[in-house]
Amino acid sequence: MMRRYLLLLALCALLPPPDAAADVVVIANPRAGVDRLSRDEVVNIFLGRFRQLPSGLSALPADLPSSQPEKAVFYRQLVNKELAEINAYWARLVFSGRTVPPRQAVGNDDLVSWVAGTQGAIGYVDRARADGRVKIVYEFSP
Amino acid sequence: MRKLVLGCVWAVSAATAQANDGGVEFSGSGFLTVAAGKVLGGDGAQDFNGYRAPMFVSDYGQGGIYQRGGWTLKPDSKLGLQGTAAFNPHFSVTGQAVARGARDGQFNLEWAYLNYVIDDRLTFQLGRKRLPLFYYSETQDVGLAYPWVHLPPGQYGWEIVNYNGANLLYRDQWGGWSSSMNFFAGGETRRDNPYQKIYNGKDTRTDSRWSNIRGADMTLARDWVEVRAAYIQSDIQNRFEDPTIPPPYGYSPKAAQKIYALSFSVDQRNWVVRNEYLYMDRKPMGEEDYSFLLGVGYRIGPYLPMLTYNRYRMRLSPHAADPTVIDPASIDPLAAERWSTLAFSLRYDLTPTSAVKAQLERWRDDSGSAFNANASGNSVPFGNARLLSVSYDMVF
Repeated sequence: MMRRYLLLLALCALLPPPDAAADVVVIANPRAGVDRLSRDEVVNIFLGRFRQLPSGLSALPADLPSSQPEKAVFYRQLVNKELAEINAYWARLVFSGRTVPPRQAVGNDDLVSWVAGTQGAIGYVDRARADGRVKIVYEFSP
Repeated sequence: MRKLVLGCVWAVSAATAQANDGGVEFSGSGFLTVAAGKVLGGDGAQDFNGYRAPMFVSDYGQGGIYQRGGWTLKPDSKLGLQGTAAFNPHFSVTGQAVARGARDGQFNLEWAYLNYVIDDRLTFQLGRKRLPLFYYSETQDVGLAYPWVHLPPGQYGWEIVNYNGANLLYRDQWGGWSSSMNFFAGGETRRDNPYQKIYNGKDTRTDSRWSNIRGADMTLARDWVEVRAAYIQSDIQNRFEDPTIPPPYGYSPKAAQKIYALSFSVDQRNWVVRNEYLYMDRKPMGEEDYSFLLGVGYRIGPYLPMLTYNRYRMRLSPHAADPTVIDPASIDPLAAERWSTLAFSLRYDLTPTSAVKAQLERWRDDSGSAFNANASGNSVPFGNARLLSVSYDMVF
């Protein structure tokens, strides 16, 4: 009996944790004048609390659609919240005129090209998609 | 109101004419709450002024009341539609109309304002907006935004919930904290106020006016900790169409009020805490109001069970009253309204944009004589009541 549990535990240890499949990084336009952002700055930009980059440019954040698993991974790693909680947060702000949610990208390619072509733009994608047109400005520590 | 709407229409047409490069970007969104509730029982009250006791007031501002009888959808169900026309990254116009069961489904314009983004820190807004009294005041109709079927009535139950005017929003970040400050001024007249019907009778008519509204609110946020403080002052007047005297009916003399609100909101790990305080200084009317609410929940995956206590207390002091506003002799300190609600709510997030909720609530009435049916029987004998309500909330 004990051996069966140990076998099960060993199998579980082999399985990657749910988030490990996506290594999400925060990307910015190379002309944004930003090398690195702090976690607080990323939180403030994506939650609409304060949208200015340390370089003085307006920060223009973009979100992936909810159908992309990277979105859930990003918010779970950034603020430890599920998408339902993120949407409840936005429901309080969108209908009160206080701030607007990030621009909605159609998909990964759309997001990367938009960030690459817009000064001040900031987004998040799987590390494998962060090509030379954009700059990684925040990484989640493993 | 009509002037304001016309003003907004004019501004939209003027801005449309100017939006020659890039055009106008329209966006729409909305929210829906379908809520059903039933008073399970209660005691200490008798029917009065057209209301069936025991009753449970869920939304004072809109006259949402659950009364004795079967299940009803009316008090808390609502549908809101919001449209924004953005003329350029700086200038947009937003309108929001809400139809609610408490007002027989007719659409009312709750928001209509011009939004001018001056820079990353400053935004100027002009038009009709919600009065930012408490943490959820601006989104009191958006059920998906809060954990309950309806907001705690002792904190959120006031006669004026909108204003027409202007405000300036200032945002910044200090260290790891973000800050948002909002300064506003304006006024509001609410004709045939549903709130006053609760006190004066279902078939009465009272117009309420808050003029010279001045106020500010400030929110400090870091991660999922938010601290909010607000101060609002205004003059209050009412115009009661007293059926026992012939018209014309005039407004009562102006009485000054000062409102202080403080709230703490924490969503840390699995714990959810909502904590709000209110002190309302209406001394010229011989009245002071206090409210305190504490809600504690623990999130388990998509479930959020929560226990929320809200206590409302009124204090009446004849010596503080301004005799030009009210006859101090008519104020009985023992007559003050006092009650509390205790709610157990369960929210389940169906999808990222919809939720279902169930709420079991107890209303306990500790009011003084003028608010107690057993004593005078001529005012609001809330009595004790138990309410069960369920809702489906979504945004789109």
